[in-house]
Amino acid sequence: MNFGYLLVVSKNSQVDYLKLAYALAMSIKNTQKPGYNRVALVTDDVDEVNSLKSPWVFDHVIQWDQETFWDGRSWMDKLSPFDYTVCLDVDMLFFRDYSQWIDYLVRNADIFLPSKVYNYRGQVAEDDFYRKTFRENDLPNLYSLYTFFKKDSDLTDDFFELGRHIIKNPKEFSNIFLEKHKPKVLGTDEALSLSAKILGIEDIITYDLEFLKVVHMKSMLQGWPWPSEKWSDHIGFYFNKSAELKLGNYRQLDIVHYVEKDKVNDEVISVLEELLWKKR
Amino acid sequence: MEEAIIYDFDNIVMPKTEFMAKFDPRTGSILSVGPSVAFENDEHKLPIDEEIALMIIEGKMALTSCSINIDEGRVEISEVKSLFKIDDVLHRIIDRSFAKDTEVDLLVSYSKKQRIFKFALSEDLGGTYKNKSRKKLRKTVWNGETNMQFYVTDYNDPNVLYQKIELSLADIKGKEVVINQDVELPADFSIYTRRLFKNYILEYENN
Repeated sequence: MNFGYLLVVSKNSQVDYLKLAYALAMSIKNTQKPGYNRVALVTDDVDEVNSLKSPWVFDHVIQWDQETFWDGRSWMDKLSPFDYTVCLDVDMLFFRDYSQWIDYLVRNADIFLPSKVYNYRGQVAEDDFYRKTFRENDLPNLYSLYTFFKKDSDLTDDFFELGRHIIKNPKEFSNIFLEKHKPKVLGTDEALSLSAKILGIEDIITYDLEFLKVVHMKSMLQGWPWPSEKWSDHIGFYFNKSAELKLGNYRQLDIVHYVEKDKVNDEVISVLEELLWKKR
Repeated sequence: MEEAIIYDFDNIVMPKTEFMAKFDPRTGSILSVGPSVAFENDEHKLPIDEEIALMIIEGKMALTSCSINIDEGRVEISEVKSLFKIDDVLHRIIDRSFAKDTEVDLLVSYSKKQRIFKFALSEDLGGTYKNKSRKKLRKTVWNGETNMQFYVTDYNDPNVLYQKIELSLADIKGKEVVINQDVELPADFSIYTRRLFKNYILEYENN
């Protein structure tokens, strides 16, 4: 089985996305079984990858600069070198082996995106704050931060082709399909959700899967009784030398989308590198 | 007939508000914070950063918990006790090897061989630790009874506590304080504290 994780970055003056991708790749290598731990990186600056201490953590490095920012992710089906791929947001970390999720998805889906995420206490996150566009326009509540797809599939081709078309023509699609609440920016989540709705494939590409859990650390998803801008104002990010993470006093075992990019600092990188080298 | 003066209200440019802090010269405590026009007749006042002023005015920082550091006619808040950030309540003292800022306000040193912790305030705050870039002594007035707690915990995990150390500011003014290690510690541990200063550093002494 030719499976791997795909990470897409581009140079940014404010955030070192390569550093985040590097940390994620190391956490994948440190936790996933062989055969389920390959990582491909799409970047517009291959030279910068070579400046990392362990650039070999990326099994494939693909130079690509046709799009910037998250728009590049809408090309994931064309860029991935794997037959089966999970494309991830790079500000995420892995904490245990999730290979059984991949076994299930390969057997049962051409495309899969989760329709719910969790807070740091393991509860389903109720999103009344960030997803007004989805709610008002009756879009399927897809989270593209974890996107599984099979390359050789007509469904995959149609889904992503339409998604790209939507991203390239945001005003037109917003005016027709999102008139009840237009987003300020039509991002990948909105575009892929709209693509699924237009194609009528919502029930095929997303459904309840209790075991597939991603913790989403946007502050207003944490179920706190007060509004907050940054989750780290209220709970700590405790990453120990075994690369185990506690958020507040909750140990994290599922994939964590930490959102605040400064959480992966030199110390976190150092811990992950040490574990990686010991494992090699 | 007088000529009517018509003001272009749509294009009025409001001047930037300057904030001032009125203070008690005997104790250094802040008495009041507000726009400069409110303190025209006051003698003991100094300019204050808009961000800090607004935090005090909006109640995010307690007025009475700040002390003034008077240095060349500029107010510098040397004790920051904001009320809403976990990092101020439970601040991890960073290992020197990972610290971006090399200036130290309070240094904690650990000797595994001697099984002791040492606490030293920087010289410019009235302590004994010399920063490489020597600063002028900061004329700081504060309550010497202010208590500091240090929690020795599992590495980057305040949920697992090994030892609690309590000191007052008066204890470390002008001298270094040595505290014995009470319990067996793991090879890697962390120290957390309630934040009073900007820069805390943890250093391991070569044994």
